[in-house]
Amino acid sequence: MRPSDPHTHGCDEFRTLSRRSFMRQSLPFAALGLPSWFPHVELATAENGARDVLVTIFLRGGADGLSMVAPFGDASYYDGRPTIAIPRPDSRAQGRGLALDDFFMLPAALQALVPAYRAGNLLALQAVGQMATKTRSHFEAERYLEVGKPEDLSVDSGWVARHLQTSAPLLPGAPLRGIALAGGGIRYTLVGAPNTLAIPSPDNFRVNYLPDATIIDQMYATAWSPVRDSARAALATAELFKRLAFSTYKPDNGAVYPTTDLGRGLRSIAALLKAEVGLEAALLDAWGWDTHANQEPVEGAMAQSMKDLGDSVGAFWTDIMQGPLRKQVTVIVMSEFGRNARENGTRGTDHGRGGAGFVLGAGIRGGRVLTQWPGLAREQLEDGQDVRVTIDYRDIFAELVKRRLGNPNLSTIFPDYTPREYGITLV
Amino acid sequence: MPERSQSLTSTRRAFLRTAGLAGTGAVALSASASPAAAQTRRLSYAQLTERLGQRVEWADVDLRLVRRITLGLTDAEVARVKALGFTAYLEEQLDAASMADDVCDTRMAFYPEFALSREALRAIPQDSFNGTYDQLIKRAIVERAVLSRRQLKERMTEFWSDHFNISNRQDRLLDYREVLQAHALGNFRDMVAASMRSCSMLSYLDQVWSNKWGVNENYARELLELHTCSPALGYSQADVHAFARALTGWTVDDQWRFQYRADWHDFGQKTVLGLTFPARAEGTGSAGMDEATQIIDLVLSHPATARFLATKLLRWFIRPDPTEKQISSVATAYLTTRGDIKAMLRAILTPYNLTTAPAKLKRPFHLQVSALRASGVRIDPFRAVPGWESIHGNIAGLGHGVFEWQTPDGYPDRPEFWAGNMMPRWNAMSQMIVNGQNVAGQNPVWNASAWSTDGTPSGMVAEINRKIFGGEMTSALRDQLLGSIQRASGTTANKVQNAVYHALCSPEFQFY
Repeated sequence: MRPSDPHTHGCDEFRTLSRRSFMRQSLPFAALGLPSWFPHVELATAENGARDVLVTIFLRGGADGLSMVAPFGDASYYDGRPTIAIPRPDSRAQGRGLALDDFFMLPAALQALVPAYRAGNLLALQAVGQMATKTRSHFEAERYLEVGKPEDLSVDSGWVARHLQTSAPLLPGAPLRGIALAGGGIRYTLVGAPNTLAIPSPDNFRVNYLPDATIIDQMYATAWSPVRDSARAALATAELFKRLAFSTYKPDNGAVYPTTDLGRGLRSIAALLKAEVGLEAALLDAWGWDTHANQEPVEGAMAQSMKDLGDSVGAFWTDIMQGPLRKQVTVIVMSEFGRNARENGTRGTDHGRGGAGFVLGAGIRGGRVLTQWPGLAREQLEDGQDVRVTIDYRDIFAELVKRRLGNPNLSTIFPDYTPREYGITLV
Repeated sequence: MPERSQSLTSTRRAFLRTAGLAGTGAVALSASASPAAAQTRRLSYAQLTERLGQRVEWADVDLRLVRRITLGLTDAEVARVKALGFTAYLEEQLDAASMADDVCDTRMAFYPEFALSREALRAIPQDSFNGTYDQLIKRAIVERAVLSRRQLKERMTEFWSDHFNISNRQDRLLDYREVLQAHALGNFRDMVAASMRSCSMLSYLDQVWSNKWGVNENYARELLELHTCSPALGYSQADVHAFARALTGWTVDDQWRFQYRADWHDFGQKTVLGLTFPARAEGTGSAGMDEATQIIDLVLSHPATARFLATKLLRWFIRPDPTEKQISSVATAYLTTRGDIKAMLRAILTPYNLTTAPAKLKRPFHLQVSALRASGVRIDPFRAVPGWESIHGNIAGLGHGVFEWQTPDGYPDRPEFWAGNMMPRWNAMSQMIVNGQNVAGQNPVWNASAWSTDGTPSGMVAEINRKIFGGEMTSALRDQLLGSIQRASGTTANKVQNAVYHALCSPEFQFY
């Protein structure tokens, strides 16, 4: 068998191959030579199954962190947001918040995250963001966060992609190591990742018409390598997916996923994880977070976005993290920046700096809010208007890469950066 | 194409050193067992595209021009460029307004939805607009791209549709016609002025809500960042906020028309990009409107705008990594003509630039339209066929639906974004070839004799080469298609169908 042949690839046979024999033959992903900035790579060699699968959920548009992990203990919060604040947990208001501690609360829309928080599996991040750039552009900020190096346009592969590049496959020969469940393309987080495809819905990922597989194989054998690799990985993945019945997948523990893109996406990821097909990284995008007007975090637009997020992630936790895979998955929820501390004139908020995020996993020291709260009084704000960034996302990512993903190559994954650890993992 | 290393040693470390792990992010030019000794140079993704995308040798510069400024080769297009020559063909395309476009115009009669007036569009209840009118409008846009002789204008409309992106909205059709189409080959300053008065744009980016009591920065920021000068100009957050204040009062009325409301305008002192507007008494009429127009005039005259547009257009037409010389030539054209788009295009579409342009991966819209143009398949927009929702549905399924990108940056024009999505492209092709055949019934494309004049496999391949590749198919693909036909059983028509399908699925057809 030739692993690069898509039609014999992606089934039981490849599991019997030793890692070495697979790697020796699977050059498609390894291209021309060693890049100069790539000098001392140690291939991450955690034993199979001992390394977490990484699920990243990107809230596109700059999610308002002050609505997601809301500081009811900071009086300036209510001063700056007369119409869009989350009511205090001890108020009698409709849609009051859910206390995380004596200072922060979740909005009612994120109620489905409470069980994971109580179980100690959910870490809330507040005043988190990117310290090394002050950009308020969505598109710059997203790119910088996804490539893992702000303000450097020469880095054009994703940090998760470089993690996969510097890791031996969890399952040797796995046709699909990374998956982007969003739309038709690969966003920066996964650009450059080996065996990674954009698959909007795994349940109908197949070749509809293949009268002559040989010519497809021949034609793509000499194509530009990203196109060739995508074609081969797709054929092998389609072959693999034939054996998985996504539509009849039954979540464990009574978990119910919302029928939204995010809910369906996480449900598919759960199915793939349980099928143990060697998936190592997934990227899901959630939309609707650029709330310049009529933000409505209690009841309305943002409340709906948050409910989708909370219900989807909550279902994933119920389904996966109370079963045998619980210590093999980490989920990160992030956004490119937060929003202004004070609401604008249209019951919304404009682009800001520090925001909120979440890390979910049984290997996470959760059940708490990780922050170095800078305060919301005017003199405490950055430029008089924004939550300061007190924790760099790269510190969070790097600690996960090292402690949960077993990959020591932090200087490759986060170039020119020395991360600090916050003790967010259990091991 | 790099040769696969045949000299792998047995240890994993050695493998890593010689072969590298990164297929894509960055690569060294020379593989060496000793990285320290290797003469390495960082290659960006863009440079990698050039090195590996140059495989297809397209020698004919006239056809290179046609590939870049149309949505795909056709017999007619090839004949036209050969009849007129490079320069006259380009000038004809630049002078789109003077071109007769009868076939497209006739077809558009099937899509009255595309021509709806503002009043008529506004009168449609949102529930009936969504899923009915909007689908027909999107099909009309696909059909225009297939049929119009004004191909460069279609390519530019697609470019501007991303540059001034607005996601699905009922009023977007007005923006499409009055901003994007109207100025596609006109003057960029006029286009920005029209965009700043577009109901759809001002609504999409929250400008309609912004007033002196509550400033909303959304539109001001994107107008600078995405539409004109880009962050390269070096504006600050304070500039963005002050510009948003200068824009207060720019809104729309309830008839979806632009309206300036002086009573909403913030007449306080403000400084934007070094221009200071002193506080003044509140006024009426157009008082205060001049602030934003002065600011945008300054921005449009700035070299940062010229360079931003030049770079983006060069990426669209020529290469992902335009040289400084190319950028400065196009930026100069912009500055000396005060924003003439045709002048920029003439500076971009030179024989030298086209000859040295690396092959570029088609985005899904381009792929589908070029497949329709090359194969001659035509779809009856009104006939429902199971499994064939619509030609636009095919494109939307590939993640590239018309008006369906949600954020104001528009669909990416980066090959690495689209490269992870090959197999769904093949499905789109079989949808068209297999189901499209059922739709069209007597469709001439499936008249086997049209594709195999002498009935032989080599005759079929020659015809595919002529119709789909302008006669520039690689010999490797020719041999592969011949082999496939020779392996096949079935009728001649069936062999032709599959051969055309394979040609459209080939990597060669994915590039232009």
